[in-house]
Amino acid sequence: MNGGTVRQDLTDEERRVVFTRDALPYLDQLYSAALRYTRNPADAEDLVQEAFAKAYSAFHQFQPGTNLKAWLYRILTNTYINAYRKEQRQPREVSADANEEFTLYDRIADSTSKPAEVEVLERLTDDEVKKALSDLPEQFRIAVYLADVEGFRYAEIAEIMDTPIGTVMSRLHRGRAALQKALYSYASARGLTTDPDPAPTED
Amino acid sequence: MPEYSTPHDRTMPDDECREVLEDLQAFLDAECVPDLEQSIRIHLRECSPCLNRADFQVELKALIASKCSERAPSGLVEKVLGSLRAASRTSSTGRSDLWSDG
Repeated sequence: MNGGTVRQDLTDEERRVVFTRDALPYLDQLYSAALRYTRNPADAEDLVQEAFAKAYSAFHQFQPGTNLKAWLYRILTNTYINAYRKEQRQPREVSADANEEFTLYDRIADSTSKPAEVEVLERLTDDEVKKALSDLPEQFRIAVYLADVEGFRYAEIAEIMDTPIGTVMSRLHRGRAALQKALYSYASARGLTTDPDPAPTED
Repeated sequence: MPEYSTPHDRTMPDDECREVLEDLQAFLDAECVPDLEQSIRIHLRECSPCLNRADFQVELKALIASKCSERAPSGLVEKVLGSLRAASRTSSTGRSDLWSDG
């Protein structure tokens, strides 16, 4: 990234004060994302610390006036993906599957006798929703998290994930379909729907 | 700007609904170009099945957002501040390059 920002002229102490003031307020949000990425509180803490350390050492490269939150998320996401790739060798870029068009709305609408679609949503537990998101393949999980929890724009997600906007849209589409399928299977396992034919499970 | 005051249940042509549903996610993510956004808005005012579906998607998004936000554990902020102080003391040399893939 290009430099030439005022931050290069700051002393170490001033830089730490500015960084603490501007970046640290995102700690809770970055931890939430880290927990969803890593699916493990201890790893999430490590990831957040590593991301903040990287952000701090690169803070002179941050352009004042641009989106600090998106910049921090990009660092967090890169750090996670790089660590993940080291551990797993290959990131899973999941292929399209036949159930891509699954919609929770249709399944619930087909399987309840009254218009209870939103009621079913309201009866899902915190853990079920978290698990449905956490169980998505990595690339889908990150895209859905960034869009639905953080409310990032497609262009920002593309920047954070270093991928074209079309890929972001495809990951969102497929990720949301898979998430709805998981929620449906939890709802139907608990008898919240009266569907005789539970959603197919992932293989 | 046309105003459609009362939503009603007239049956919409299937292909119009299909087109709207194809763009519904982008619409709800506020990522449609203005013309498309306006035409979807008009369709949703007139077509309650599509509106119900859109409402459901909005609820689902809100559900995910509300259930998946966490607070950082107490102690994490001190750990981060501690590592920043340590980095400050040793930072005169060797800035790491964030953007490299290594």
